Amino acid sequence: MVILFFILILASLAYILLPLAGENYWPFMSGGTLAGIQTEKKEGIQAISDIDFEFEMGKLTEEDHASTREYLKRQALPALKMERDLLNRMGLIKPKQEISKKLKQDINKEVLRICGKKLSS
Amino acid sequence: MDFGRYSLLFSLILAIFVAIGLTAGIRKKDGRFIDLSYRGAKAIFVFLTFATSILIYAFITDDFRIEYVAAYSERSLPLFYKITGLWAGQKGSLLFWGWLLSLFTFITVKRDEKNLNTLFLPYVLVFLNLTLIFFLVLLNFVTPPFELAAIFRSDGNGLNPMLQNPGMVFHPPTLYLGYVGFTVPFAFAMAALVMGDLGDWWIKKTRAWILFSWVFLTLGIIFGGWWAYKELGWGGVWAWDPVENSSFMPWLTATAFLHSVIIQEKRGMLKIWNLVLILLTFSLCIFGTFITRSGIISSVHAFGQSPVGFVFLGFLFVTLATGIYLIWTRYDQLKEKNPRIEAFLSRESTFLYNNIILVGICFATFWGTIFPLISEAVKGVKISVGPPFFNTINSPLFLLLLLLMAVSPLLGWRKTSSKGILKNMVVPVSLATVSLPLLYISGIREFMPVFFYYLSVFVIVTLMREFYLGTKAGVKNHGRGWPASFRRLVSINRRRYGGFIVHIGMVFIVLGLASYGYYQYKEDFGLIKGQEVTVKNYRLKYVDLTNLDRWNYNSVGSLIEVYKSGEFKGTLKPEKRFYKKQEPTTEVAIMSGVSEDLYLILGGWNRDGSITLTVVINPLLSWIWTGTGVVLFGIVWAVLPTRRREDGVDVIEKEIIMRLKGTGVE
Repeated sequence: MVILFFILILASLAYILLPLAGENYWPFMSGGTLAGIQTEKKEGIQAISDIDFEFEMGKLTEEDHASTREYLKRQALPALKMERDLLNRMGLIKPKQEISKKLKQDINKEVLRICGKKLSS
Repeated sequence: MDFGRYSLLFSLILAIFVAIGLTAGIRKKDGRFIDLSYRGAKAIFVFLTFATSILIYAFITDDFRIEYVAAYSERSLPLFYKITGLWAGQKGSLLFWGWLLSLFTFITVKRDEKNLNTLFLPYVLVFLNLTLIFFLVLLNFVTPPFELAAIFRSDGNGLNPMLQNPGMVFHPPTLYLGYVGFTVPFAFAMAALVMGDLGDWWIKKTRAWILFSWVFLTLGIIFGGWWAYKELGWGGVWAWDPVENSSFMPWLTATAFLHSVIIQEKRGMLKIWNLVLILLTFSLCIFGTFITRSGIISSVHAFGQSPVGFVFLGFLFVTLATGIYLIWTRYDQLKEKNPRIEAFLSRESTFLYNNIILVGICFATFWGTIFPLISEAVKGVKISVGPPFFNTINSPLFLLLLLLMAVSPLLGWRKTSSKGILKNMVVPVSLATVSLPLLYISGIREFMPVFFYYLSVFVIVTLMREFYLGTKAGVKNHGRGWPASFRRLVSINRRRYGGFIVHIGMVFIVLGLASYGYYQYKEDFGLIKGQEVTVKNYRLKYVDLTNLDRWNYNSVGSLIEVYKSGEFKGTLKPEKRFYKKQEPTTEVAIMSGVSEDLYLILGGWNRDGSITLTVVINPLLSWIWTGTGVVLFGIVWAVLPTRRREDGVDVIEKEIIMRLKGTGVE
């Protein structure tokens, strides 16, 4: 039993000290990452989706819904901008990527249903 | 047992090693030392698991050479209670605490050791490890659980009979899971402060830990109440005892924290407040431990007088000083980009009021708990503060909390126009008002109980309306059937609807507490064999007095036949037990029902077989236990993976992109 315990201590020391046998490295990155920005964007959009849902439930007046929606859109804007800039820099997005005509129509239809207003072209 | 001692000592050496590794790693920017510290933290868990297992094994094998085992066990104790002897006393419970902390540290490291985005984990580990070092110093030098008994003993003292109850088996570990669990969000908050990275990342990272700790703290408190109800024989679940209060205070600040983090996540507000709340919660957990273990305030739950309480007091001061210093140095940074609440009536404002009230209740409870100490220090006389003080101060505050629970879902984020509020209020207020004449008819006419019942109905109606409106919106806008729409509603936003279920459970608990608090009925009777008494709608017949000889106690019990509204309901047997090595205890007999509990206490008996019986009727008391089940279900529902609402999300994103490109809503 004493020997087993002694072996356990030695094994754990070997396991703990093993990294010192390697080269010095510093794996940590600093600053925001794409994943972080995308999470922020997703949450901003989800917040808008949530108040749209509350409006659909009839809990928000049209006026309250419109003003809060506008406020949340402004809040979500920086994350979207950062994401697009980052994706641009990484070459993952074409700078002049256009929104398809069909999607534009869908957006107009959905915004009209939720807000009672239409988008300008 | 030597291996237990050596494991504890080696764990302390490793923890110091981890602290040095982290300091070197962070200062020299050397990843090898960080890796070494992670490995060290995991090894500590292995060695503490080893030490804990050795102590449990000593209990199972009746190793009375260990003083702690001899003090809390005996040969005839059932195996189940031998194992739970681990947390029956001071030393074992601190070992259990240390082991839990090492487990949570292990999980925290394992979850994020591969996450290289930021440097947060080493800083988090610094705070977890420092807390662990504190416990390991205690376990090695102040309260060593493997200390040898001074004299040889063939048998132990046995476990306190009051602890030989399932409620007491589950109460301490659940409470410790809650207490220790809060160390993790506390460590993350402190890491955020040290790093100066004060966004809501630490809240997102610790969301699961916060819920986990809150649930277990809640369960710990409820199990404690259940134990007191069954074992202490005074007919209630909560007596505002100092030790009860010391677990209730961190629960209050943790509940405030659970709500205020939502505001930080949704609106970027209350950053400083959230840091203060988690610091307070963790500090109150330590303060509770100081109260329980110092013996400074007498309580049925305390461990007895011990210097270890004052070591905890020292740790509490260090924790508070560190937390306050870190918040102070980051104050300017925290104030930046901290939006203000725009309207008096908005959902975030109700969350803020909820926080103020919860902290207010916490302060009142804290003041009432420490007042005997203050009075003794100032006047030299220990003035005890009893339930009337706590009930007078806290009951109106609980009423306000209920009101906020009802009103909050009716308000929108940011601001709601008075027109919108009125529109949302009409139906719930009208429906809740229907309860008033019903309350009057059932004899509930006093101001406070009427408000408790009325507001409880108001909360339930508001929450039911939330489910109804959400389901109806799904039916109307997406053409789904009612059942499908309801299923989808509660699955797409589990956090929101899980939270509502938790609130329903809390209302059940409040109703149970208020009902027994205001309408408990208690009467004493002297009975001879065969005699019957009528208490409210119960008829009780005293049949016989019995003697029993069990494995480690003798008991005297009275057989009472119970009839309700003329119908036979069963036989109850309240007892007095005489343990071989301990004080006699009262074993109450309870017949629990949905509307009320019948609770019988055997006061005493005479040679002629006559007895003294106390009859207690507790209305709606079982709702406390049902409500706890509902709270638990709500939490589980809230933490299950959410199927987010996807429809419309793409459209919203494109809509914002169009704004980015210079187009937008007309």
